Amino acid sequence: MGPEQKSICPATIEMLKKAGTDGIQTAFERSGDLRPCPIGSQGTCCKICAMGPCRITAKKKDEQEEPLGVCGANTSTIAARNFLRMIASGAASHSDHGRVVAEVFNEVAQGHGNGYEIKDEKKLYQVAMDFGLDIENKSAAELAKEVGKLALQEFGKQDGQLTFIQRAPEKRQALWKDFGVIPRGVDREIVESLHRTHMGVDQDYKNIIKHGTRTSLADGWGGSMIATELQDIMFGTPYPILSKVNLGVIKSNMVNVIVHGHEPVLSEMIVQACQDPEIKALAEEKGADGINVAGICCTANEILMRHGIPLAGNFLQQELAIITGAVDAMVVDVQCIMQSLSSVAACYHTKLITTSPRAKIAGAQHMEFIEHEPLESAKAILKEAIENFPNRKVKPHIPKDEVDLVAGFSHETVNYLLGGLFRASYKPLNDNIINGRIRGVAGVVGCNNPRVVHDNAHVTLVKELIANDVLVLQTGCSAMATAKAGLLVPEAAAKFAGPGLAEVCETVGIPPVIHMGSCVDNSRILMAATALVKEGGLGEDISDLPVAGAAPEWMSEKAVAIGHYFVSSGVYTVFGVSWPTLGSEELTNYLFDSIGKDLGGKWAYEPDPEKMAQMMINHIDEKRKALGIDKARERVLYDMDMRRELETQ
Amino acid sequence: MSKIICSAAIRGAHKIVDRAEVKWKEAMDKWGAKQEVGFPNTGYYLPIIYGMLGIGVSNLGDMEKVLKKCRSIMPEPVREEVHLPYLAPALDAGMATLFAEELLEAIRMLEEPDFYTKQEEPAGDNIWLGPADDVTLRRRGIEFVDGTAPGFAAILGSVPDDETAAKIARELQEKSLYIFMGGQHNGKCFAQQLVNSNIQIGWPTRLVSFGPDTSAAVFALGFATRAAMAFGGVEPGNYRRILLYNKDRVFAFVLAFGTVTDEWYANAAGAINFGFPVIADTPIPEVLPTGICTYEHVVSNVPYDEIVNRAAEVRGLKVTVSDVPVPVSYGPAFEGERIRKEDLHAEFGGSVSQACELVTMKELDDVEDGKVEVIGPDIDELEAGSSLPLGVVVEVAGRKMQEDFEPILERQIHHFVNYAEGVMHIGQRDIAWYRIGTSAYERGLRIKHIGEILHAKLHQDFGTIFDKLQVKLYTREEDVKEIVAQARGIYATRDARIEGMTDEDTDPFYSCTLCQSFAPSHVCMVSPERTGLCGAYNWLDCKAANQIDPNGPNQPVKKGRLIDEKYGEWEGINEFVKKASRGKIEGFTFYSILERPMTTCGCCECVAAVLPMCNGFMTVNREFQDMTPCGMKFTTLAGTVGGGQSTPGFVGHSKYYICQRKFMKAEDGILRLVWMPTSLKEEIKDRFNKRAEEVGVPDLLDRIADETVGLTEEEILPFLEEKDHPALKLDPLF
Amino acid sequence: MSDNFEKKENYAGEHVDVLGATYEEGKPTGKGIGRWAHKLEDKDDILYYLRTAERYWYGQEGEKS
Repeated sequence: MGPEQKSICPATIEMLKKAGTDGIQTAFERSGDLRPCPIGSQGTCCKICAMGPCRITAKKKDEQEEPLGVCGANTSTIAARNFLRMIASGAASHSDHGRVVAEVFNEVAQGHGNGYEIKDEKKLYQVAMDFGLDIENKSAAELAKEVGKLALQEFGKQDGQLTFIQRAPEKRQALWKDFGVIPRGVDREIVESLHRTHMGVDQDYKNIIKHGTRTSLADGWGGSMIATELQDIMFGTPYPILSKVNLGVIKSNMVNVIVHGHEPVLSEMIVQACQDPEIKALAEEKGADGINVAGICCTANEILMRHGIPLAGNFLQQELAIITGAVDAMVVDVQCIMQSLSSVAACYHTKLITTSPRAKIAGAQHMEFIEHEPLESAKAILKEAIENFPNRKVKPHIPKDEVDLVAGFSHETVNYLLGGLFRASYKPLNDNIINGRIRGVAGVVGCNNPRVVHDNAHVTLVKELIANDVLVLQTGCSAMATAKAGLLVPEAAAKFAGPGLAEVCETVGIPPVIHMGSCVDNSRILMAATALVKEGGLGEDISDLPVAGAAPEWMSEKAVAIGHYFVSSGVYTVFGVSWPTLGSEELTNYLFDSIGKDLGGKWAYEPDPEKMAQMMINHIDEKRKALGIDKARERVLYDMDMRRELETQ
Repeated sequence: MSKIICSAAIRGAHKIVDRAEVKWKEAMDKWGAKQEVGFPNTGYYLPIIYGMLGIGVSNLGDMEKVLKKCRSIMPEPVREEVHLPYLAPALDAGMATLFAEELLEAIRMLEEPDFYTKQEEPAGDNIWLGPADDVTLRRRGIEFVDGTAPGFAAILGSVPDDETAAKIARELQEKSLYIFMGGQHNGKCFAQQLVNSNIQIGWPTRLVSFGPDTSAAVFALGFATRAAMAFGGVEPGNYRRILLYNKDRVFAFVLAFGTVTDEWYANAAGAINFGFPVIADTPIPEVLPTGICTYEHVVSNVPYDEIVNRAAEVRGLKVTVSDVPVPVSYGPAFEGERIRKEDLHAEFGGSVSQACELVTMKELDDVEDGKVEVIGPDIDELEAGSSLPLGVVVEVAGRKMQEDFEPILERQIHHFVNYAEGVMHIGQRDIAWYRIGTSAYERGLRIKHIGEILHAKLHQDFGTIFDKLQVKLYTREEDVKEIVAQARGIYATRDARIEGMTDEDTDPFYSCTLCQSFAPSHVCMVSPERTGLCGAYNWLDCKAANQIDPNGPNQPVKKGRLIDEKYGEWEGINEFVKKASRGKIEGFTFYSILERPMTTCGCCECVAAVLPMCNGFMTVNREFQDMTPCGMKFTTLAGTVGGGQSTPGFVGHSKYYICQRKFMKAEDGILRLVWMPTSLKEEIKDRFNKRAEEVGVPDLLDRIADETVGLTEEEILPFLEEKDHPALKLDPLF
Repeated sequence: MSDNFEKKENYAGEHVDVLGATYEEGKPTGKGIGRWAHKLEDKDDILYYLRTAERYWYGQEGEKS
């Protein structure tokens, strides 16, 4: 299979060709060489004890006995335990990210910011109000101290409920309470996940999944949301911003620093340090036209959203960025960083610099990011990159592809954009969903996966959705895929969107596909969905909304955690690529169907993006019907008595 | 398509804000920061700025913060490629436009004090009225509150010919809308086109010619902003509530006639913030998705013969046009129309002949519903400009009808007759005066139509209290004379009956919560000896209103145990008030200004205030615009005590109440009244003198100070001493 | 781009002036031009905005409108 069959992204294809010429192996090749384990991929390989590993295949039609592991665990238990462990790992990743942010936040609040600051007072008040603090009489500085302390406590809380749970629609909270899945503390739920999935503990698949629900909620409405909110306070809540995406953003005559990973804590400082005169001078001295910072994965999304820093590419382009030969340093923190970067970098002059004590890579240079000396750390890293600029071995080969995109859509910004300062509201969105111009809203998120054609599922799915008047909210690598395809610019509305959606986009001036940030920023989508509910006219719970979610090219455990907190929040969620419980029909049926009775949302699996789009649209149409908004409504004209009845708020 | 609109709006807004900045700097150089500025006779400063930002601009220096705010909310222009979202920035720019234009208009009034007539009507050649003052706001705004006017059409520009203008104006008037006009197109103004068509413009006919420039839009939106504050009880600075109040309550829209410039778009963006959509006659881009407005935001290319109906539909306005069988237009918009002598076909009453109105109850069998008889010559037989006597006798019958309701129905004659285009009605009872204009006559209006109007309208509004109604219209002198004599007897009996009612002997009293949808904690209580503070509702009116609509805003309230006779406080009343104010008001007294006085809403006719130095109190009526001895103008007073609060030392009341026996009885009533404006004195003097006689000081009115004596306590005290005003000898108030 | 009037045909087939595109050339430039929260100038402004515009979570009088 040639490069053209592996990706729909021209820059990726070009670099894959160069990789071939340069003799570099990438994930694209390895995925061809290494078939996924058939038992593992369907969720029925149990390796939690030394009686196994037990690789169980699903019961065949002619078999009498249910196949069991050595301990007697059936496929449902095994697949459910594996599924819960994926959720736990995903939730742990987002939450540990959140914890780091909370720790830095506390430093800042205590006055040891050293370059960080409380940048967004508004967001500080928001969070302070969530925590029930006396915002009227306390200064921002005092509130920051208390917010920092309370936010950090969310991780270690043992009882009660996570604070941000109360942000959800009331009916949703009641459902969680009745079902018994309100998370107590972030760490507690994750620890309990690992306990329950130890050999011989929880062996009732529904009970296991139920804790998956609780753990995932501790992610979406907990760790992830804390990360998003505290990052916003320190670095600013995103607002609309123009930038560029794809490998073409790497510049041959500049010092190229690619930040990769997930946390903005370091990358924010790198962006700031680039402005340092000493650093600028050094770059000049080394013969560069300046320093060019670009990002990969969610670190990229974080600094894109807040500073408009260009995106070099998504997950599967991390190796390819180095293959341009123009990357002077790739600075990584945590999550989704391929170990292969080390060997790819070794073939060029690129320095791979690890910065998190949690994430070292053999062969990479480790320059630990010191949180209380952030600017110094950042400068040291930049100097390393600049010093490396003259070491380029060959003339860089950088694809020309760079595409415009408009990002920066926090849920607060969407609220503002729909009505302006004086009339900010989700009402216009609700109205246009009700009147059918917008059919529904879809969240399309997640990773890349070399088991499917790179970016293809994202782009095909999203194009299909917007063509059917479904407004798409995106985060993560998925947003980058569609951005590269030119869907994240306002002009895309007229070109790709259905007439109703296009008309609304034209009115507001937005793209039909809305980039809401990194993968922890899926919490923003939860908030936007909540706003839709609370605005009124679309039911009383997220599960009443004409919305659906998807991760068509997912690969990480984080994606499973996200997917499950969407399902647990009432959203119909479709995954592509493969599905990790297919080894158990019983569990799969539960997740795809009857879990809906418990949570309002449910899972689905469909690797074909066009079919996936149809499933989502069908779901949206069903919800529209249930809401009674599937037919055109008559215009209501108001007389005086009716006007008196109108609630003025 | 709205990229074009938002881009233009933002561009236009920049021009306007820039202009305001330049103008302001010039004005500062010329007059300095301390120079007072403002719109005439208003307590709302520059009202949009005051309402939205909570900034009261009273001098040039105050404008600086407003300009700073404009700058801070002004967005960048829209870019050709990969533009950032523009709707919200354009809406913000629209608000900045309105702020800047208010500044520009205020500076203009400083530079050219006589640019606007500052009256309700054109003066001489000057047709531009400028912003409404608070008297007009109250008088007209209340019509938005009670539904008499559903909203307004803000017209920018002009139409190709005067006839079309006249036709559109009449159509809007027929929908009872106010028509606010500003700006020009092709060098022509819509208001001038109406004048050319010989149409009477001004507030009385709801054809309000605000100003010749686009910036006159701020007078319309400023009116809307003030309505929310005055009637909605929204506090200044609560911009969101003000805007939503307008979206939900004031059904207004913009009609853009002619070339839509970027400055028009900027103003339109401001209007859209209020939920007021734009309907244009040119093929500009449309903005159809809903959200900020109830339905579409911009609708364009609408032909003139469809534009009024289309506008109402876009705004979501349902207008129930009363089906009155007259050959002329009919609706409240025509109430204020005058018939000048040269336009006169016929008149009845006034100084030239005798006219008289009487509503009287009959047995069911004696009334044939819908029968209208003209007894005597009709106006066909008259030369233009001549007169006839007229006796209008309305006979009603019905199981629920009571004699008490006769005067209530009778009072409606004035409004209902006046609603007919080309008919003017002044006065009531035996001093009624009718004029019928030439054009109405030419369109076929005859005397019988007066009867038909009364039959249709009285049935429509009061149909629940009677079953049958017939009208006799007498035009022979001998008949009219007879009717007048009979009517005078009836008037005297009626007056004696209501005058004879006392609070002590009457139970229940009536509540009035008509204004509650606009002043949520306000509860009026009406007793025979304390008429409602708006002057519109006495005890009998309330009783009748309750009969008409038993679940309506007027409820009978049993007085319950008497708590204090002097102050006028009853247990049953207090319980009701507490409940009806949703716990905000624990109760109040009827007859005191000092001891938990009754709450006041924004509709009061007068406000009384204690003057400690004079050991008495003053009262001031809404029409009086100057300073008063309590240190506040009426508008400030109304702002202080209005909104449903009970404010010791201040109370709102009706003009009628001043001469009622229970007027501030707890504090010795009119004997304490030390100051009131001459206009009020003049208006109530007959009843006042009668009451003064009752309290033993027949010349009391002459001993009361007014604005000719002084506008401060210090100024009036020597006068009171000289006149030996009784208040000075009463026990100290405190 | 300055005023850019075009002649367009209206419902009656007459040619009337209609303002066309008035966009600034090119793409957005300049740092922070999409920023809006700075329009809330002080704590009172912010808290008012939170309680009204962001009433879904911070409103004092319920969620709607």
